[in-house]
Amino acid sequence: MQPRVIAIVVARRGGEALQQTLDALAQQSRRPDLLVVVDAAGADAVTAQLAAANPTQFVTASSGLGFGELVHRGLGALPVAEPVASSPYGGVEEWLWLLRHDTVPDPRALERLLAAVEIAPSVAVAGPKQLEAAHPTVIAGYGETITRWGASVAIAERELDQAQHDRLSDVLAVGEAAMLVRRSVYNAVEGFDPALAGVDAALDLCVRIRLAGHRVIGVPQARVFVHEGTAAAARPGSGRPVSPRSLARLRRTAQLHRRLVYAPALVVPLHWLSLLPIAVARALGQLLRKRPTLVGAEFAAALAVAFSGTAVPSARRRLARGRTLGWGAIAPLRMAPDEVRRRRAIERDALLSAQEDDRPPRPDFLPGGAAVVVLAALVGLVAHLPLIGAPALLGGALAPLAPDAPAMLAGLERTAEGAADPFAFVLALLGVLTPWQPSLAIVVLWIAALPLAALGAWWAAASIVRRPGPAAVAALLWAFSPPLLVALAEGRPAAVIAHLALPVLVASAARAPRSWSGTAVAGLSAAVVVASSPSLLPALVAAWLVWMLANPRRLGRLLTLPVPTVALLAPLVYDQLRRGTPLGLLADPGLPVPPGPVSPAGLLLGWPDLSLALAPLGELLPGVAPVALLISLAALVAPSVLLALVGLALPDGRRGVVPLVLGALGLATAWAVAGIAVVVAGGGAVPLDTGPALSLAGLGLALAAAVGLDGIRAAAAPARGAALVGSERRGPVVLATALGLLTVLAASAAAVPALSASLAGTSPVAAGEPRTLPAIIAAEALRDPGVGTIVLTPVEAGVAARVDRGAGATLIAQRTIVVTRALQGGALAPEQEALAELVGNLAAPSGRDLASALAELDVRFVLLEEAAPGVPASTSEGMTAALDGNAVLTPIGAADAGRLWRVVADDAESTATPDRPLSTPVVLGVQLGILALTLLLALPTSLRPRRARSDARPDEGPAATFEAGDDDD
Amino acid sequence: MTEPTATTPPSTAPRGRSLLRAGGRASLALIAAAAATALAAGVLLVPGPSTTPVVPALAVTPDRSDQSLVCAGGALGLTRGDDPQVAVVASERRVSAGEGLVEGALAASDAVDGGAAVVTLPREAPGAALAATESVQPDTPDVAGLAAAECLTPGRTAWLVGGATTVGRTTWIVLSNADDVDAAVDLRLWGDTGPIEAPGTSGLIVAAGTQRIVPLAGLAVDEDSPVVRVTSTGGSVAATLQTTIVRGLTPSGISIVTPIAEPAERHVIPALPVIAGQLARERSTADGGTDGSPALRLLAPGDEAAVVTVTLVPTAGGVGLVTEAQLEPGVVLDLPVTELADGEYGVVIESTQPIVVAGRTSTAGTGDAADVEWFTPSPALPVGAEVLVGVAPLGPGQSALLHLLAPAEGAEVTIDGLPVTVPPGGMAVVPSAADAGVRITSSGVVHVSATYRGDGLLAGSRALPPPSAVGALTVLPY
Repeated sequence: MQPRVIAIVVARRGGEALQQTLDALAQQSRRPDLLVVVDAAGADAVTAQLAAANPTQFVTASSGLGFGELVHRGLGALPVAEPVASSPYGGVEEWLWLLRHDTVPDPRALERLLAAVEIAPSVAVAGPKQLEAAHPTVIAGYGETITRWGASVAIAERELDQAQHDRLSDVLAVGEAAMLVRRSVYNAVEGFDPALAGVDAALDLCVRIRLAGHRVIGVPQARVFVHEGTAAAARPGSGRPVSPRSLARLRRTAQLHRRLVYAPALVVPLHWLSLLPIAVARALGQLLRKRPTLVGAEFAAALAVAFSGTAVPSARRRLARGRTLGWGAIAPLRMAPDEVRRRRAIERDALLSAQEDDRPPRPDFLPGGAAVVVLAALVGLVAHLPLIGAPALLGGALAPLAPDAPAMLAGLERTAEGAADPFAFVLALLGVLTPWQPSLAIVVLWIAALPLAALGAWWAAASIVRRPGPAAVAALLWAFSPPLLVALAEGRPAAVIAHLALPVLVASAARAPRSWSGTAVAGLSAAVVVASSPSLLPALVAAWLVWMLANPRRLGRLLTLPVPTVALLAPLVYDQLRRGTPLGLLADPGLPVPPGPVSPAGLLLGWPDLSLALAPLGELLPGVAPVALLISLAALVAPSVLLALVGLALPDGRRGVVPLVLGALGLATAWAVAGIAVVVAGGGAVPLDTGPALSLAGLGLALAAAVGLDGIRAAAAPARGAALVGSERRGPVVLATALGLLTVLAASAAAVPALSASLAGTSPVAAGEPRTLPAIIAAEALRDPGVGTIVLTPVEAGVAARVDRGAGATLIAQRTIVVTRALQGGALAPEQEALAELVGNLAAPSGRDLASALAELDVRFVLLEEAAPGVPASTSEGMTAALDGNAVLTPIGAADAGRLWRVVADDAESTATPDRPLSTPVVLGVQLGILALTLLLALPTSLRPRRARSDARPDEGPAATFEAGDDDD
Repeated sequence: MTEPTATTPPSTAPRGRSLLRAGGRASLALIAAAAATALAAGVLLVPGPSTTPVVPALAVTPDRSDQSLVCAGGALGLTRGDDPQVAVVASERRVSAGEGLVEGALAASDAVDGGAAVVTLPREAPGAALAATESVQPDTPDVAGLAAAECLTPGRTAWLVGGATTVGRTTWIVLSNADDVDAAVDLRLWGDTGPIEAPGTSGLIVAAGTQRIVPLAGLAVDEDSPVVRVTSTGGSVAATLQTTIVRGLTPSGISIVTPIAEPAERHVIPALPVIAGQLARERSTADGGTDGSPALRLLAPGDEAAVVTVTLVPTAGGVGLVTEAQLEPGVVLDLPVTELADGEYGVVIESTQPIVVAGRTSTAGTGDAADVEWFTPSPALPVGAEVLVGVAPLGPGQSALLHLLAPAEGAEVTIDGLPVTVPPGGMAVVPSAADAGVRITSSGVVHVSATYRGDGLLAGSRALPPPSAVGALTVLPY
């Protein structure tokens, strides 16, 4: 009895692959009895191609239909209905041979498939071994199964065919390419599920056939060469490869559909309800696995399945009608969990080794980097000895960070005053490190600043140099760089944080085109830098644009880089623009305290406040002219500048261009912001701090100098291709070492005066209690954190007045939107006017009864600070007399901070809670959500590839191929 | 990367190409160096953009407040008996002028029957002017004479120049606190040998609404020429000195010394009358004292010596007597102004350093009657504004004179509508009704005092400018 074979060719497009398929059909050793072609291409050329094959039946169908539907159309066109089969052992046996336009069967494929099914009457489906048409020795697919959780798994996929699967016969399912299926069985299970257009369609069919009591086998001797995958072949059009994003969506949609179809009826609603929660969880997982592009696929799949209409019920009915066996029957054919794990482990290892091959060489952190960091840590510890053990730092722009954790959260909220500063988020992040005393984090920051700077700079330098020596030089230059030391000595936390975050930003931005994790880290560190120093924003935006131009292929990824920054800045930008004061966005966050005096020479030498370097020198050498001191300071800076420029002329010197451009951007920014003031506080304008801009300049210089040193060593390497490895010429090595030492020593020498400011007591930064107001107010603030204190400071123009709440100013409560109000044109806000009226009658003898005004502001103390220099003593005395004589005030006496009075008012509890817009929790939630997601993406979850040893390939440039793949896939 | 990868066979890289590459690198470095130089020059030479917001400020004129004057109180003496106590031996007479004023009194005093009047002009009063002056004329075996003093705006600092603690001389420091808050008072003393260190001079608490009386003799024993500085924290105090002289057994005068607010380089004493000067000198020298003759007491409290020029201005006009003196820092100098004929004099004292100063004259009358008076410099009255001056009530047979001194340019002065011309650098003396509030308006800078005299009686009080109307205060809110 000869079985009858009906070959069905489903063509979505023509071309070489289709022609090969048709030719192969014609050359089969066992020709199919009937040939049905289904033309779903909708192109005349394809129609002609198909017609030339002399099909028995020619069916034209819409290109939008799935593979199963097309097969169904083809079958429907058959003139002869299947004879009513009596038994498999008698009568005519009809087989369907399903071919796609891209599946080229081996000439003996059909013969061997038939041979396999003839000897086993229980077999209803036989599938050939699919090989890749482009690489005929690689298996494209051979057998499919599902895991315990229902995910489809290819038993063999993209493996070199070494006959390793040839003993495998019984499988759960086979792919649809050149699948041979008994027509009667096909009809009995009602064919393919129309809801599965391509992916998993054959799997589902085979599962149902298995459940109907038939066998599915793979026939390794029968081979078919496939050009496209299942997913690609199911899509109409020109046959472009399916993107990983679409593939993930299709696979997930199919899996979820099958889950709803296969599940017991009772749990289907549960599965349906769990679709979205699981999608959220899996989306987070995709972020952790650095595959943010697949996040959309999760939701698209869940939504598509959740609202697929009647697809699931009809598929469930189809399954129920055809099924004769229980699910236990196919359990042994599922993939065992330990096998799943084993496969994943193999996959990871393969990935890791691929990355290691791609990795540009970089210096090892141990021991060189660690030694540098430890050195910086020791110096930092000694330099800040007086601060150790303090609960908080005061002086300069320093204040307690926040009284407690709830205050930190409140500091992030948008209040009626306006949006919170992005810097508040940075401070909150810092504060939660020591939640029992947030201010302690600032002390830790001060003591750890030097080693952290060294660590960051090492990381940044290690990505562009190949030896530990130059990276160590960069790390030390950065740790002892003037902007950091000035910021530490003058107590400017924002500048310190910007300095520490800059190298992280540069290093991660360099990695960003290759890695989602790097992009996320760069995004977060950019947010930290911009939050700490908004005046760097123009320079960073320029650098970002250039970086995108330089990496057009990764444009999409780089476009997401500013997302965290935008999330933090958006409310503030909105408020500033609505108020008409866009310039206010440049305002330095934190306590509005003027930075030290700026001079052009200082900017050139990298010192935001030159006096910190020159004043101690001048005291040491009283007779020397200031110009001579300046020149000697310039001589100490010169080595790194020369090294950076000379480095360009050395081999691989082009690596120094980007750092130098960054440095120039920083210097230009410093020059541009030096004369700009946007903040008014304490009765005067507060100029912008040039420190962070000079930090950027210094970073560029340090990295370029490191590249220069690296270049000298590279010149020392033997000529490319020389026979002997390790025969470096001694001269350049000694020269590089000497130059590196010289540069570091010169920079350290210039740093000594600023570094010793804390030890010498010349720095305003000092250990203190976590309060800026006298202890008696702090004690009161424990009971009522809203207690107000009017702080008066006699200045030359009059008296500056402000209201402090609680134990005094805190960093987290500062808002630039408040202190940039003056940009509106000098008019006073109503609450400012009220305060001025109150203070005018308080600081001078007045007949006004102030009790109600004070109670309204919930002011219970008045503090008269020491007058600014240059104010006659009588001013203070007059105010003291007026305050003393005021019946609503009781003098408490003199404190360190000034003279203090208590308001005699009734001790009414404060009821004033800051009113905040309704949108506040939403805005804060969105901001924190974006930050959390970015953080998930930034977390390093994959194993770090072992680094290629730097000395293993001494003279090879960074591999040109490293852009080919992603680090974090 | 332009570098050939490791797979490039090295031998195929021709020498020329590597030279070319080196040249390219060198020119790159040169371009970078040029760019760096240009950037540095730009930073050094081109001024950057500059913008500074206007600092918002509001000039606030404080509301008018209650205005109080605190008077010195009655004449102090010791009670008779085994346990003598400070007591008021003669009560004061007072004139207070001003629309809508309210008189009150301090509740408690160290002195028996003591106390001080507080004259208050409430903020809602129709007028703004306020003046009050007291006089007292004790006549006991210990204390006799006539004294007068204007009532004072309490202050934070007061310099009291006058008195003595030598035999027969008694000096009390009277501290009155009319505020609502306690005042902590520190005293500092100087004598003719320099600063005097004494226990109990600091942290003297003057409770709100009380008067404290401190015997100067307890702080500076047998001191010929004391000067006292009073500083208070907390509440403000009105500080005066009362000094009495007993020669032998004869009470020979009383004076109430009112304070100078701050040391200054120029002081003007408009009234230094010499009446029966010869007789007074004779009587005083009889018991060996020197305080019978006119003198100036000067102190430079700073750290540097001062050269003082004293100009005596006679009533009649013409060039006055000019004396120069050298003041050692911290040492009180009693500068005798001898050989003065009877008459009305004014004194202008100019110094190279801030000093404090007061003048003293004595008089004598029929019988044993004698009196002494300390004249404190009068501050300049505001030009063009009406100033209210209290002229103390007097007993029968006593008269009051107003002394007006224009130290520089002349002034046209209107006294209760009557025009008076004060010549440049000269003075005018006009009789005045006693027990009256006198309104003085001047076209130029004048210093005004009142003197009261009778038979062997002499007293003086000053015209004080109204407590400077508090100007607008510029407030710079955050």
